[in-house]
Amino acid sequence: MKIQTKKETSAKRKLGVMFYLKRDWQLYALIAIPLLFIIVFKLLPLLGLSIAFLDYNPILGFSDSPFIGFSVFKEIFTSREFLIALRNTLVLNVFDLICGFPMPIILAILLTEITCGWYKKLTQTLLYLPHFLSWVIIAGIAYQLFAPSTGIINVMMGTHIPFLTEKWHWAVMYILSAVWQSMGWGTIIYLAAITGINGDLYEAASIDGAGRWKKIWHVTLPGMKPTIVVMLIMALGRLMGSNFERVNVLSNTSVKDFSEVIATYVYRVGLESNRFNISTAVGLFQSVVGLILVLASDKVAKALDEGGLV
Amino acid sequence: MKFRKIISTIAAVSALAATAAGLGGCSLGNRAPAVIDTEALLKIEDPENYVYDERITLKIPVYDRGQSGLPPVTDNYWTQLVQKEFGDKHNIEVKFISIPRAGEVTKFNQLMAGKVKNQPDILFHYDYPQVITYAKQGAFQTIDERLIEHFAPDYYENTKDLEEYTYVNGERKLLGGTRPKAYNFVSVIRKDWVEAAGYKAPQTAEEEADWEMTEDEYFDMLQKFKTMQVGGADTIPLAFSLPNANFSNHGYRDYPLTAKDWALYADLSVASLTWEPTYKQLKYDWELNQKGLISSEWNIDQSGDTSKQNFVSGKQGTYGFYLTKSNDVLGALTDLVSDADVVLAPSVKSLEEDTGEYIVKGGRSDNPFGLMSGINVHCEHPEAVLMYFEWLQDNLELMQYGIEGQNYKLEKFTMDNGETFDIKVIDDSYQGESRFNYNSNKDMWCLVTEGRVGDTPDEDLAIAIYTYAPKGYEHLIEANYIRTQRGDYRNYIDFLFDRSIDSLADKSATLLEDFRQAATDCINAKTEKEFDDAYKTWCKRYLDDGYQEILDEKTAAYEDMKKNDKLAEELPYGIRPDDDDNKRYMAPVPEGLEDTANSAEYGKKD
Repeated sequence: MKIQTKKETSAKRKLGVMFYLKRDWQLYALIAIPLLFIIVFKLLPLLGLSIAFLDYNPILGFSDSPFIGFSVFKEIFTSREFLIALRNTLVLNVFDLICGFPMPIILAILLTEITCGWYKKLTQTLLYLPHFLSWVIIAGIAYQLFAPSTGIINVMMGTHIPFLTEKWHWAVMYILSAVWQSMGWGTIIYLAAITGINGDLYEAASIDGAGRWKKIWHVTLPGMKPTIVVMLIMALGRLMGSNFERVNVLSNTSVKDFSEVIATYVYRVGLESNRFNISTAVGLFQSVVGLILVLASDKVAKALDEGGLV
Repeated sequence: MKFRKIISTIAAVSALAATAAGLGGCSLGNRAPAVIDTEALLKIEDPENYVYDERITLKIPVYDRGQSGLPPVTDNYWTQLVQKEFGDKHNIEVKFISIPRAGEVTKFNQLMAGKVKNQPDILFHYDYPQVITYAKQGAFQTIDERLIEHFAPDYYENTKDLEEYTYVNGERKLLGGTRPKAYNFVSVIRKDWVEAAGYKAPQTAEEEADWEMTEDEYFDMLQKFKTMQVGGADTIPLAFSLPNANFSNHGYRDYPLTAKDWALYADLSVASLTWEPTYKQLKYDWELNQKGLISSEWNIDQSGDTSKQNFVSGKQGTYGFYLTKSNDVLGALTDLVSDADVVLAPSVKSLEEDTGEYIVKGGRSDNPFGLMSGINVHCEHPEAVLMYFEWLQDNLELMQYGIEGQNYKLEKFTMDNGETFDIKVIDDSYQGESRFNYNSNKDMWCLVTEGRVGDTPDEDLAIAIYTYAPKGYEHLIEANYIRTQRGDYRNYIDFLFDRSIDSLADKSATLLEDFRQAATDCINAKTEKEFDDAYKTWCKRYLDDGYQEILDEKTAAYEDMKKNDKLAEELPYGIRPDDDDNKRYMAPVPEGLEDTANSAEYGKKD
């Protein structure tokens, strides 16, 4: 039997790549489309990263633009504006994470605790709605509501609170608006995770005398943990990223000290001033840091025996 | 089973073909500059009727402004007309390439970075420094002037005055379009408010044109608007919005200005934050804000929409905008406030500190050129580009006015002096086959000129009124026309460097952001000390962020131009030589306008 198996294996090996290509060529050809997509839109553009090391002139192209090594990086890391943008990006994202990450989890748990069916559905639908509003609309509404003199809130309260024109107030509004917009939608994945928890566990907990809090703490949360960890790793990967649309429409000149983030910096310097090498270099830096963060958090998660992403 | 096999085979083959096509398209082809045999081209006789043996392609970029309800800019009645009348005649395939009006530089850069066969044969921009940047990047070929004269004689003749702006570092790189004076940007003020505040408002177009006030009188009037609450409890006397790089500080500039200040600071691309007139202007704006004469939310109105709403709803006293027949400002205002009436805002006279007199100082004059184009360095048929320019020049009337009975109708126009002439009145409502593209095909004929002109000044005025003025507001255009005719000599155009100022291209976007923040911090300062502190802090930051670099580069370029006699021989009115300390000296007032000059002192040398 043993010999036969060996023979079979060697026969299989002999068949080689060509055999499978020939036999399943339609399948391989079909996968060529997504592969082509990856090559054209994800891999070929990587060649463009060379712009970060060139004094890039679109008319001369990659091949003829002079090579300048790391001087663009030097310029960026000594530039006051970039450092401010970097600081703001990190600070705003950390606060976004601190305030925005737990909200969907809490909300998902609260939703599962609602027992009245129609009320639960209505609440869920209302919570999802803000996700479908674009940031332009949200900013429009925010300025109508919170403008210092003509905003509805200030007019009603008879005050002039600079919700959007003073940088600390603005930062709070900025974070809260994102929490408001995304928390409902974010519950979907956690609700799915909660649905996956075995009902027997709750039953057993009840028999052991656990109340609602205890069940949430000892059954629901541990059941959600793998999902939470994966979501956290992904969120950490976005720590260096920034949502251009959100910052751009919510900011104004009074709060630029806080609202200038990497995305707006890249847009202004890279695209408005046509310094493509700067925007490429910043993009590269952002991606590398994002990758390091993802890998590091993945390692930590694995070390804590919570599974990982990679 | 057989069917499944056939389907999967087809899908697989098309996927492989797509892969091959995708990967095959990566080569960018030959990127060497085109070699032009000028002498051979000059031997072509009768270029107007020249027919290419082999069909060639001419790729002309055209602005796409994303206007809804209009035919595509690259394929419509008028592009087809160009193909029929111009292309087919010469055996040229004319292809139009759409360039988004916002983000045009990025689009041109993308096109130039791609395959040569997809690149447009010309690149253009309204902004002179940007065109110089293109030239410096190597986007343009040098044009032998003899070719222009040979292939586009009418265009050549018509744009001869612009020649000095078309040379970059001593080589002819550019083709300019002319820019006739336009009269439709109007700054209006509520006439009923002026009268309610106890001032005499002008009654005729002539009075409106001549209406002047000193800056103090103007300030007082605005304050009266506020205290008398002529527009209700939340009256906003003056329109004010986030400034741009072209920060109007003319009232505080020396007049005449020295040539060096003119070169260094009187700039459209970057605001001169550290220059004294800017300080004074910001201080004035701060005072306006302190007294509540501008909207307290001026700096969050980035688009200017709120300012417009405030004016339309009758809360705001002034507003500046491009007047068109179908404007949505004046009609809406009278709909909401039935007794509202507007006149042109007065010319404000500033104090000349040396003499203690109030004078109207010159402001910025439009450049004498409109769009500036250059021929792509890879274009193999520059003569075809020139032939197209010539065709546009010769068919301007058709392109600008369209077809009688469809795009326009003839109307009799009678001047005040009784003179009558026919005038072509554009029918904006025409929706037939030959309907115009955006703004009467302007984006097609802008290569050679920026506007319509009549044969006489009277006809010019009539055209302006018919083109821009809504019914009942003809006086605005007429007054603006008269005011421009009388006072434009005082204004001076931007100083134009004959080379690219690299730091300007690199830093202007950053500095604009800085300037807006600086203006916000200064104008919104609570006390005078806070204003001065903010100004000082921002000046330092502004210089560090690149303004110092720009000033250094400009100074070096200016000194070099001066040393090599490259400055214009005759300085414009309002600009004096650097070494002339006599501020009173100015070039003579143009003939016929002596009466309108500010003061008899001017125009004479002590």
